[in-house]
Amino acid sequence: MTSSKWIKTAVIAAGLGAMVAAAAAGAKPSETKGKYYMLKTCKPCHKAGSKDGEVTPLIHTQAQWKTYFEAGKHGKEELTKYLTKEQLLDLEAFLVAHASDSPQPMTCGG
Amino acid sequence: MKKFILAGLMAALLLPVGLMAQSNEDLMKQIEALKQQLQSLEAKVAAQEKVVAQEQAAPAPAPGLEKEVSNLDARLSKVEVKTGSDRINWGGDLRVGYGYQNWHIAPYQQFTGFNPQTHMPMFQQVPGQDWNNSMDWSLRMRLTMNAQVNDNLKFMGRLSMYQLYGGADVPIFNGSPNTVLDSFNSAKIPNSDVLHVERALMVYRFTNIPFSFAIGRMNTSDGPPLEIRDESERDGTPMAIMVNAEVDGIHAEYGLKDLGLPDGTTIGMCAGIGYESGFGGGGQTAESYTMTPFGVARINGMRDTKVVGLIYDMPLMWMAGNTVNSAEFILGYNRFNDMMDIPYGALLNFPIPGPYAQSSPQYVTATRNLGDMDQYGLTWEHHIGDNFVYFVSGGFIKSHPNGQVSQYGFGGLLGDPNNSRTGSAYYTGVRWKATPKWTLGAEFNHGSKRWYTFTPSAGEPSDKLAARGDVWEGYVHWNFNKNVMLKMGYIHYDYSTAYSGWQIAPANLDYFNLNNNPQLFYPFPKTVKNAYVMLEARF
Ligand code: HEC
Repeated sequence: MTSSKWIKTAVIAAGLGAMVAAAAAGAKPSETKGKYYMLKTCKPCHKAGSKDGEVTPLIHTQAQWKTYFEAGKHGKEELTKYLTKEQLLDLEAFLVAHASDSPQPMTCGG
Repeated sequence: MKKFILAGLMAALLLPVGLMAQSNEDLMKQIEALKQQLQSLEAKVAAQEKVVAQEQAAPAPAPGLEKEVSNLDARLSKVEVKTGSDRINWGGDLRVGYGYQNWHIAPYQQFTGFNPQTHMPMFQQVPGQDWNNSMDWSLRMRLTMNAQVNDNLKFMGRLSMYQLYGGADVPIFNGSPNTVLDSFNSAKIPNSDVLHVERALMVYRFTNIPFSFAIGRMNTSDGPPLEIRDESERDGTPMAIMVNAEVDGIHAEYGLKDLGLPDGTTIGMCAGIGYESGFGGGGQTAESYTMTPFGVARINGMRDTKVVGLIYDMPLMWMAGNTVNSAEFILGYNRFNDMMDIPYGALLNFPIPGPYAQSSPQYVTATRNLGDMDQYGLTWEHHIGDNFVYFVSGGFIKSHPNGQVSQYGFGGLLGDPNNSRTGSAYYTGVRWKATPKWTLGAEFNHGSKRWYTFTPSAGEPSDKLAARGDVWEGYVHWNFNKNVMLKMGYIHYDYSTAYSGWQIAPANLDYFNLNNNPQLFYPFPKTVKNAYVMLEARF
């Protein structure tokens, strides 16, 4: 019983710590923010079946996404037309983390 | 060239004007307008010519560049041929595990067979005791593969090897059904150095409707929320608290975005076979006989166990202040029809007591269908920012027994062949990425005394989510380099009731309270302490 009390305390401490950490936004690019920008900014033009072509992390490898963001071009225009430099870093973190050569989720829907 | 174009344009532009001219004034106005058009055209053509001139004046390619390009071309075409003929993309992981286990067994009465004269069951009192396994090394290799067969059809699969160091190639059996080796968990019980087909399925995605259909050996193990503890991507469709097994079946999924639900929301239907009563199953013929502790048993009119399920999956994403929240909400329902007494057909490592408690020498088989069961589940996973996630998951079951009992003496559904019974469980946990290299997590789950779930593929010596009682787990992951981590954890099981994991019990489960010196077929632990360290590389 004492061990479970100890663990309970640890859980609560970890939970509180995490809240604090989540509140103090980190300087590191954020994958989850990147995913959010992808959903809100890019997906309206780039979902499955749309005429501008589906864009998902899977269309490129990690190295290709890095090159893509280094060039910073969206066709002829600048990627900064859509997102700020900082937001693009988040987007890059997301796309690289889920690129075609990254571990993929496995479900029955493919 | 320029003059020629201009003259042509003039002629073309003036021709209709002449035809329409009504008055001189009109004509003058139109000529003025045409002049302006002509000037702008001249400017455009001049600009065009400038570009052409610049292009012509471009410096010749640097010496050697052409050679370089043709060189690159030759090298690239080799790569193209190679990737073009690589039909399967491979990935995988390798894990070396070390475990320490302590089982505490509370006093119980061990079944020792039947009295030859009176045919009454006999029991021997066993004192409470501890049992330690201080050295338990294992090696697991998994090879993940996929192939895009055509624009619509995708193949996915996983081959797995899982072995104990020094294991005599005999799969362990410790009384928990997740250690009975069969095709539902072949890749999840340490047994030998053989590669098992853990998954092999085809997924067909239709082009114009948000519909997909999958068939084969499905992605039905290690489903949500187990990926949180594993620190990986979602690894299966069904919730781990409901089904964790290598299921051969089908799955159809329909996207619900067009109904105004969040992108990625799906409703899925799946079906599988839990037991095949014909070839490969128990009976060699429609009617046959087998040996049991009670003598010869007649097996007759067995039906397949069929499973049908529904799953609703809804991802959510929103911004709160400067923090992105993402969540997954999952609801599920399964119906198990015609469940068996022993859940499986051929049992390779399952010591059934024969007459007078001799190990049964013959092929072991299910002996009766015991009834049906409904199973409900719910899971909520919520990621707050990049580093924190918590989840809650719950399950509920309701049995519909048909009055039958196992001919081995294992009783009826949930220990009660005559009454519908219910059980429930919940599972909750948090994971916090404290620094980019260190992750901390804690989990708790509880199952009621009649809780049952189909999780043979738990992959651990004890089946956490099937436990009747309380289970605590705490872990630390050290991601010391990209794609390699050291996982250290401790799981503490405190069981309330014996026969955890089994859908059957010899009598009402109230009799198998582990604190009350119960009469048991096998020793069931009261508490299990399991400390583990695992080194895992993902590639
Ligand atoms: C207003 C609509 C629109 C938005 C918003 C948009 N794109 Fe595009 N995107 C296009 C069009 C149009 C093309 C060109 C398609 C073509 O030429 O085949 C394109 C092409 C691309 C390509 C190249 C596709 C390929 O097959 O190589 C990528 C990658 C891409 N976009 C990424 C993005 C990302 C990342 C964002 C979000 C920051 C984004 N797009 C936002 C319209 C859009």
